[in-house]
Amino acid sequence: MIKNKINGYRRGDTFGIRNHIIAIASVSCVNSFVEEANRIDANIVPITHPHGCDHLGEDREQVLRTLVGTCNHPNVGGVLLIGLGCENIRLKDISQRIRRDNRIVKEIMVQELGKKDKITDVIKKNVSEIKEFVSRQEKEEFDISELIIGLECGGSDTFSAITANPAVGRVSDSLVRLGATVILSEVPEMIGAKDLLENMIEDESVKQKLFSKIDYYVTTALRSGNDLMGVNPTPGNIQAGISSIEEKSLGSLCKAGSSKIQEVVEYAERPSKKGLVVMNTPGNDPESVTGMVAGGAHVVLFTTGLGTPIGNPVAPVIKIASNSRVFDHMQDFIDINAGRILEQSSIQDVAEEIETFLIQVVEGRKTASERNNNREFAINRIGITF
Amino acid sequence: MTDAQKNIKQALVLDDKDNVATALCTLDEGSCVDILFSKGNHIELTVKQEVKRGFKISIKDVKKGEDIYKYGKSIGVATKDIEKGEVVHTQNLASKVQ
Repeated sequence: MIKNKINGYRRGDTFGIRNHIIAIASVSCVNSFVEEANRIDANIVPITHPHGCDHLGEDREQVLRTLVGTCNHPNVGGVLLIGLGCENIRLKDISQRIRRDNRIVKEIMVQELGKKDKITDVIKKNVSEIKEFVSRQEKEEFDISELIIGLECGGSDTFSAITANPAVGRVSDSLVRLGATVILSEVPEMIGAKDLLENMIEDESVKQKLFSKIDYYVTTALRSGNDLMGVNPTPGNIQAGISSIEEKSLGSLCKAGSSKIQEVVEYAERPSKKGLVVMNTPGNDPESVTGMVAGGAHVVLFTTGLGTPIGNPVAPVIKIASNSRVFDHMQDFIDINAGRILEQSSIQDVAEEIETFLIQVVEGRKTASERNNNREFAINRIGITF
Repeated sequence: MTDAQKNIKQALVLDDKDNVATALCTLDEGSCVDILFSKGNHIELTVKQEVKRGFKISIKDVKKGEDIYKYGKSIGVATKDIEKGEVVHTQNLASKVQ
């Protein structure tokens, strides 16, 4: 059962379900100082990445939007922003876009400080100040309609489409009924599913926008000689019993439930509508999860058949196994066993178990990904590095 | 432990509109199989050929050209007449998209 009222940290016009302190690099050149902040205090969540400079145009915008979205995430109460000084995505570009509603932001510029000892001292001092601020934050009650939930499937097998994804579909329907936002992503999985998607969309402009995103992946692949329409389903899929691209796509799409798609947003862009929305992310799991969270997803429901440990630095990722074999084998990294649908339980039983666990996670219970510190962070790039 | 000892279900229908069930374990040719629907009701069906885990069997007679439904939506059309209990796959189902 999903409750209407939950507790969280107010952040301006929204709420967070965690109160993380992050140390984040504006550019890859200063990743080691982010790691140092985490060594100084293990509670500081380190976010490193290989980007931040030599990007142009829309690619630069997307990297900036993802970094800003991560710092601005409602689950984040304190930010230690570390920059170099000469990078193309400047510290100020990020910092001035971070909202300070119940959030503290401190900046460190490595080129300004120069000396190693001085940098360490300044990191320590800033960490202290941030911790002090964050420790004073308290929870308030808020409505579940404030929640944004991301959906992802990774390492899928034949059973993902029969157990975990249909169960998540029921949860998506419940959440949308309660006024929350559910993000469907992984646009390359929608290749060949335009007919199906058409039935999920009422607004013509939403349909055209989504179809153009799908076409972009198809034409980009063709340029390097890969026909994504032609090789779907793959020989592996066919050997596993998947007969058509419709069946393959539906197997993935069914996790979105039966709602209509209200909006299509760019990678790491915050949805402006409630209900079911689509975000333009790739099929690559770390990139897709990073994008949905940077766009505001408080938590991610992640189905897997083969097993994957990935999490996210600021949002809990709830891992749902499609079969009991992988649940037992990779139990350390998985939260829910939807494989029970093949045995004693019904899809509805498992959907309710997911809903109950989701509320517990929202209220503070840690997922496997959080206990293990699985904090994968990968930004989707749409241009080359110069 | 065998699938039967673990109480593994044999075949599942995901939506009431569907005309196929998905085998959850290998179903032997000629065996009488319990097909479970999502609301909890079930029917029995004789399987006309061996069905591998993850593959589909028809739960109704389907005419050539008719839609095959799974998840309550069309996943393609029958390219031949299909009898109840037959395997449904690339040899008798074609995508409407490709």
